[in-house]
Amino acid sequence: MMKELSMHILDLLENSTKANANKVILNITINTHKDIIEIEIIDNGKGIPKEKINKLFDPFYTTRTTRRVGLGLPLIKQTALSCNGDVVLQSELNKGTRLFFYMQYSHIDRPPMGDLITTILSFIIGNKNIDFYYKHCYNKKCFNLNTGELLKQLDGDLSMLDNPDVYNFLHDYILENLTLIYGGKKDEIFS
Amino acid sequence: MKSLAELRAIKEKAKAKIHARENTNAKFTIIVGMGTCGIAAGARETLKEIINQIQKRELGNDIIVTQTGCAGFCANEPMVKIIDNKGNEVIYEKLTADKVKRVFDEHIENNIVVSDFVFNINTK
Repeated sequence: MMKELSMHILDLLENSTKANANKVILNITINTHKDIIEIEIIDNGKGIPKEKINKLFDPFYTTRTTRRVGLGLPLIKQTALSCNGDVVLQSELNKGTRLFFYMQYSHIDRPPMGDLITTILSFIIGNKNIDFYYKHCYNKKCFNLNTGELLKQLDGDLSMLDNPDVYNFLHDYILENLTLIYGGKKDEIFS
Repeated sequence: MKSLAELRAIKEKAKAKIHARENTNAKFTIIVGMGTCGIAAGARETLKEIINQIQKRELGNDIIVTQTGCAGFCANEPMVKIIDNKGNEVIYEKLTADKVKRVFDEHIENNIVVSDFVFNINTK
């Protein structure tokens, strides 16, 4: 099992890369009043044929040609189900895929979010050519980041994305903004 | 509050450093396996420590960091491949974040392969 939700997220984001997506959207929405956390990953990759969608939740259905999703989906399905949640996978061939999962936020078995910022930055660095949109909402306050905006400041120089100074700046920038939308409760971002 | 506009200044500064050197070619490419297996074994923390070491040692212009998927040896993850500018490849296995410093001390800084962690070597 993955110890952190943010590890699941990184793993599921990598699926979009393997599907040759050049645009990936990650939406994380937490509503403590409704006691729910929702995570959505949308890509414009090659999509999954209808007959294969259900098989992807079978952990033993992982031949090389279908390694498009690998073990990631069965793992998150198991986690979501055990936390009063579920997973929805929608896909259209050559158009893209939408993966949506939710859980009871306060559920005792819900894995902690963990180091989400490292997840986001790892994905950005490892997939410099992907247009990545990240939106994170906590009780209706939202933070948005997209790589297009970053690259505008960097004059489109992709190689700057793994420059350590840029990395550290982005880390602090995301942390500062998430802390803001969490109303100063820094620890809760990672819990 | 930080603003994304600050990135421009960071970039200019980094560029100035690069121009100050004669040889701008990267000396090493470091590839981290980030498949499901790698991530579950701690590859994300390994990658973070690699970035950390690069910054500490000011090697930002000498090293390219990138990622790959599952190599088929899931039990040996996290796996990290280091390629020098002559094309020699060293693959390290079970390279958790705590072992990264030693790879930088020996392999990156002194060109000595850390045999304790080696999975495979391909020399040109």
